[in-house]
Amino acid sequence: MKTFVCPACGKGKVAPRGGKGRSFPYKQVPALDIDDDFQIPTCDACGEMFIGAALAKKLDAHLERQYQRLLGNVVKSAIARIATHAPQQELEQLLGLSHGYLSKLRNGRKDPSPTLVGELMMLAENPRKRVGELRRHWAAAASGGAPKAASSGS
Amino acid sequence: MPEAPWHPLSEVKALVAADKFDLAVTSATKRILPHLLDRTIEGVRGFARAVIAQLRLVDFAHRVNLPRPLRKGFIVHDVYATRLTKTVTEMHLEGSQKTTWYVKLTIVTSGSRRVFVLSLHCLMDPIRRADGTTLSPTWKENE
Repeated sequence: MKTFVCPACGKGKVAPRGGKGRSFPYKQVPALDIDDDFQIPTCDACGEMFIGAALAKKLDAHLERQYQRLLGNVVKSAIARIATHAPQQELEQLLGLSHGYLSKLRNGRKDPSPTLVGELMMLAENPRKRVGELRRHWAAAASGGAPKAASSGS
Repeated sequence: MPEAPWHPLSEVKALVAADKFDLAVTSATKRILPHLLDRTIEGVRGFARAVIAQLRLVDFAHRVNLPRPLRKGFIVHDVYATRLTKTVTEMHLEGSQKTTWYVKLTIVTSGSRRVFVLSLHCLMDPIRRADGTTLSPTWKENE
């Protein structure tokens, strides 16, 4: 790639460069880090970066890998937190997952859907309370009524 | 006589349609990606292609002349203010309420000619176009 004068500031030169601390929004994540050695045409004066057609494909592939890695890490920590308050098998039943699915996620043998990761994050924030709520909601749905509030003693 | 775009709009459209364009990251990628249905870099490029394809000469607002160092002339930015069509908003945007957009672009010749889309975001302030009409941010129009 040829070096050229920065079309944004008119002062610096644009050339492919790596860098620390660069991130992009991607899907529902506000900022996903990209590797320091990932080369993006960048102005040496204003720091503006430019993305052409070929680089866009490469960058999307890179961000997708980072995204899947993030989902995998989040899912593992969420399952570990929830597991202290609900057996994994019961959690699978409550979430409508097949038996053993959470183990596959924990071991990195399956890629989780963002929807499931979102649900697990919500449950992991307060596993005792939220798993209890989920149990009550399913019980109430089965009987056609509204879920009863948790009793203070339980 | 009203000011006209420095870079012929027909050439801008042809280059962008042929995928010969770059997006600036700060004001033409990161700022809008979270508001798109397809929240990927390819999604932003698809949106930019659609916006530029629907630009008209009446959308042109003004030029910005950016002096180059050592008196080597200017880089000329063309600024447009456009109202997106219903089709474009529904196809690309999450929520179709923001319909008035700001576009700033230039053409750079470095080997081949390429369009650089430097800004692409919804209008933040009213902007007067070269034909004398004013386009306002959507939230102001709804006040």
